[in-house]
Amino acid sequence: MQKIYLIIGIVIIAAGMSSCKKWLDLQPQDGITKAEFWKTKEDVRAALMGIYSSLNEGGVEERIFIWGELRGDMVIPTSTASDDDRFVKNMNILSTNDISDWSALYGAINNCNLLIDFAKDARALDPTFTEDLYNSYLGEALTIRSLLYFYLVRTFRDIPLKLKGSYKDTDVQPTPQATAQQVIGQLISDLTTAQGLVPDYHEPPAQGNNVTESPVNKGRITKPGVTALLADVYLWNEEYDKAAAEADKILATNRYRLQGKATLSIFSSSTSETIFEISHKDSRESPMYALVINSKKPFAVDNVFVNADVFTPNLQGDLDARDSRGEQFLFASDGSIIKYGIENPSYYNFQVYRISDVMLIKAEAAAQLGRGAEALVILNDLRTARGALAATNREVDEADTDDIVRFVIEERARELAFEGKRWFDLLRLAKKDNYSNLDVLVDLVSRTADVSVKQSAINKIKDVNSHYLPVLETELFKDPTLKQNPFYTK
Amino acid sequence: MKKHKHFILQIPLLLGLFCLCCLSCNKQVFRETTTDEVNITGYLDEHPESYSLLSEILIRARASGYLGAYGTYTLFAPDNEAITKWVAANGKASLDDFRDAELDSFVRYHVIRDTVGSLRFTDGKIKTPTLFGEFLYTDVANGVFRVNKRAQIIRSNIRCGNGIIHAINEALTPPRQSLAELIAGNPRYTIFAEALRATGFYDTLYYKRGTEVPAEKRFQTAIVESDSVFQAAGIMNFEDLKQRFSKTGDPKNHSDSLWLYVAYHLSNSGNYLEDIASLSSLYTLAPKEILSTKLAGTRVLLNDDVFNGVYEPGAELNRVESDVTAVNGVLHESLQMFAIKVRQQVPVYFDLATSPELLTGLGAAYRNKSTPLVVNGESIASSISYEKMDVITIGSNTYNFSASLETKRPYANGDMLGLQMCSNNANRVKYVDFKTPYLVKGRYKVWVCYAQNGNGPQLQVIFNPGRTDEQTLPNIVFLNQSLSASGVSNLADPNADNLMLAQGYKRYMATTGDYNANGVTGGIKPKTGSEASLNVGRLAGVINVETTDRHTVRLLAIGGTCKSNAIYLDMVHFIPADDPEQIYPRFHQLPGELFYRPQ
Repeated sequence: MQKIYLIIGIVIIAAGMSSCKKWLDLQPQDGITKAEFWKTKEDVRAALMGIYSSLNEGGVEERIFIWGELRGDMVIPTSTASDDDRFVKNMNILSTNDISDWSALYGAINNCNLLIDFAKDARALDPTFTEDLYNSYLGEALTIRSLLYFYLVRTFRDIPLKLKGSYKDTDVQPTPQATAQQVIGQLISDLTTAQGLVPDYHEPPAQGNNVTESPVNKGRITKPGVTALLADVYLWNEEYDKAAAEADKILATNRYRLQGKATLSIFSSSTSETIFEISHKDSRESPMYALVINSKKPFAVDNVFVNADVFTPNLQGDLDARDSRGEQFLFASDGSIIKYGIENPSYYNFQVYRISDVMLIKAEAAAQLGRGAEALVILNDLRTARGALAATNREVDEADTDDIVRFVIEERARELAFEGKRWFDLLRLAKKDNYSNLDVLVDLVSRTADVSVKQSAINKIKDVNSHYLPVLETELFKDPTLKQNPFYTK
Repeated sequence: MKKHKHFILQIPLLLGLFCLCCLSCNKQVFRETTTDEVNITGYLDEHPESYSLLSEILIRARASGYLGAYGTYTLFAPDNEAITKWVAANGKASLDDFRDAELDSFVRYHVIRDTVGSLRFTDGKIKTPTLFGEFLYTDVANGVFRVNKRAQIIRSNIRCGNGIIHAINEALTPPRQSLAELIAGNPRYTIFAEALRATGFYDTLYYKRGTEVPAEKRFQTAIVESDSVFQAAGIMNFEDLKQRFSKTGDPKNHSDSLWLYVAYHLSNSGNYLEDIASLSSLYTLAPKEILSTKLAGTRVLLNDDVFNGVYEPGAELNRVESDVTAVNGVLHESLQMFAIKVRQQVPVYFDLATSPELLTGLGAAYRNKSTPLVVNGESIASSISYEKMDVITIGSNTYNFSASLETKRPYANGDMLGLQMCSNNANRVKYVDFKTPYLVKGRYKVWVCYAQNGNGPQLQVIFNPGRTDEQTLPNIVFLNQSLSASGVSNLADPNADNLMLAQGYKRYMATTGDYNANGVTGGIKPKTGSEASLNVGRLAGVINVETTDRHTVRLLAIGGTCKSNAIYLDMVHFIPADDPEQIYPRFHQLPGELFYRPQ
């Protein structure tokens, strides 16, 4: 009798014990413990590689491309694109449109934040972790975070500026939005810091030959990489003297050079032109193949516009001349963008900053500073090297700042075609001097919107809030402190 | 032992009790609804601070029943402030002063039986009418959507269980005037208004709600010229207009040119600028006469065409004064005078590879290199459409260009279309449709010009397929046959052209002996030898074109072999049937070089 009570008791207790197991275990279920990490320099290096890995995962490049090109005029959604993509072309964007999904970028930003927060713990514990190495890791993380925020601030304007890492779900606190000016201020201060931290080379070039260098110096952030980004930020912020000064720091070294006519090798094999690229070589395949090359690609070149207005053919003089960046060379007549590779899978690298980009940043800044002649020399150098056609040459007066700036933007369309820069170039041109060039964007939508909504699209783009995307509905739901862009609340 | 047994019986009892204790502690609450979403009336009831008046109207109009039940509705919801303004504007003190029927009309004008989110708004009407039976117009001003050019949408796309609410800041009121009254009441349109009365069209455009009219005449479009436009053209008053146009002296006569002039400004169905711009041709009340329409940048142009190689500038519609909604349609204003063009029939030599739409699609590839006609699953030229787009050879339909002059298979303008068609192969399309250049009404002989290929199929030509004036042409075009199929064996015979013409064949490429003003010598077809007969013009039959417009020609494969790349189509000639000259001019690879009868 007693025995039976005993047995029942044991059974009940055992049942109780088994269910306790979970809440007695203090290890978090949703992340690694930082107590077991951040001990050695190898840990920090692994974290840094994790950051680069989150860049070449696919999501980041896809967002850069879509934000930079879909709202522009050189890429069109094909019949396999989603309705959301087509609505973007018609300025018919709701806060439920997928284009506003920023999670890939914030995911990568969190990885940067963690390294910035905790690398110093490893530095304190690991005596072999040198100061130089620590600085480099920290600077690279700061720069990549800045790069991603730079894309976000140009796409959404007011964004949550999260500067602390989240280890587990409960770390995630609502972060109120910072204004665009606050974000840009943070980027300038971070990048200036990073310039003092990141070395010129991760793998020094062979003696006496500073042209061929290891792809590591292209796939990882180097000091010129930081400088190029800083110059771009200054240009966006209309601080032209500083933008020109930063660009000069790169141009003066002669480390990066144009290889002459544009070829696919610029995009496949880390040539002397590249300053920073998202590397795919010997790593993950590029996400761009499915987006712009595959036969069922959702995005394609708008050949009609690009062939007529960007790479305008010669109508006199040498009729057979072709721009080395045009159709047949870097994109195909069926709309495939072959600068992202033609093989499946493609391992071409995603160019973020090239020397030609920095040249054009310099030219634009110089023109804005009233140094038109200087800008034209740079433009001429680039156009000669690339074999640009006479038909695309703009006859400009050295003193006509506005004309030269527009020429630079046109040249950027040719040189940096389909690299996720077009919309940002047009927006920068439109918004400068307190939106004195809004006509650029009006002209853009009057060409890209469907006939049935053209007038609506034109009237919408005149509202400057519409130049920035809405915060995605699901993000608003998750974080009640987020404020929607007023254009999308009506 | 007995005691023990007794105890064993107790164990399940104990366990049962224990379980019961556990269960009774936390009562499970089950959700009985599938969603928390409220219906349209529910949403309004939840926001009485904004919509208490609207709720009241809905109840009195007996609309809260259907707007509270399941269905698909779109409600444009004016807030309390808007309704108060509306009540005052009607000279009433409160909602109680309205009859239920008035409120019913009010509600029906604000409800569409469809879910129309802002993504479906265009620069024109919402394609589904309101329950009131009339359309709402949307556009954007200052970055915000507007309805009927007045009410701003202050919050769009509020999702409810049975549809969508768009909150608006002003009540919508149906237009009060018909087109006739709008035109007659506008002091800027006195000349046109008088012409309307004189021709009897005032009655056509007059409409009072509740009148029974045929469905196709319920909504109409009128495009008018203002007095200042007339005056700029030297027409100071109606008498001048009558003198200019009226030939019979009786403007009510349907063959009077003034009657036709006014009829040419009116069309059935209510079209806003957006509709007009995308229609490409608007059928007017003038019998068989169309207005061609196009969008150039942001300007909507009428009759702005290239006709017979000559550019004819058209009339632009005035955006500011257009898109005026009437009870029975839409009123637009033109910035220039436009009238029916009296045209003579002219031969049209349609180079299939050179239509304006195709030129746009080809861009730099035109007369430069061979290019696919279908890219990314879409035809590069809106003037060329295919039976279906999902066959595997669709991408092999190409524009072909060859620069070097040749005599075996030359093509007019150096280009041709290499198509993949077949009557009985699932991998190829059966037919391809081409939009023709403008054809003036009248009868035409249709010649299909191609280069022979032994593996080419047989084509039937159908004019305006699927339309009321569809015509199937009698002669089958055998793409595998050369000129020898005409039965004329000696092409060098001086009478060969006439003999072939009698059989419905002709040489369409420049041939030895033809006259060319520029003295072009290269790439001219010989009269003898194997190459002489390979470029064929074949008479498909005679068509009757009823309206001056761009029409459709379908080339349908109906038999024969069909191998890859076996169709070399060059031109289609439409030559007036009564024109004795069916053979010349002949064409050349060099653009614009024409060859005429030896002089």
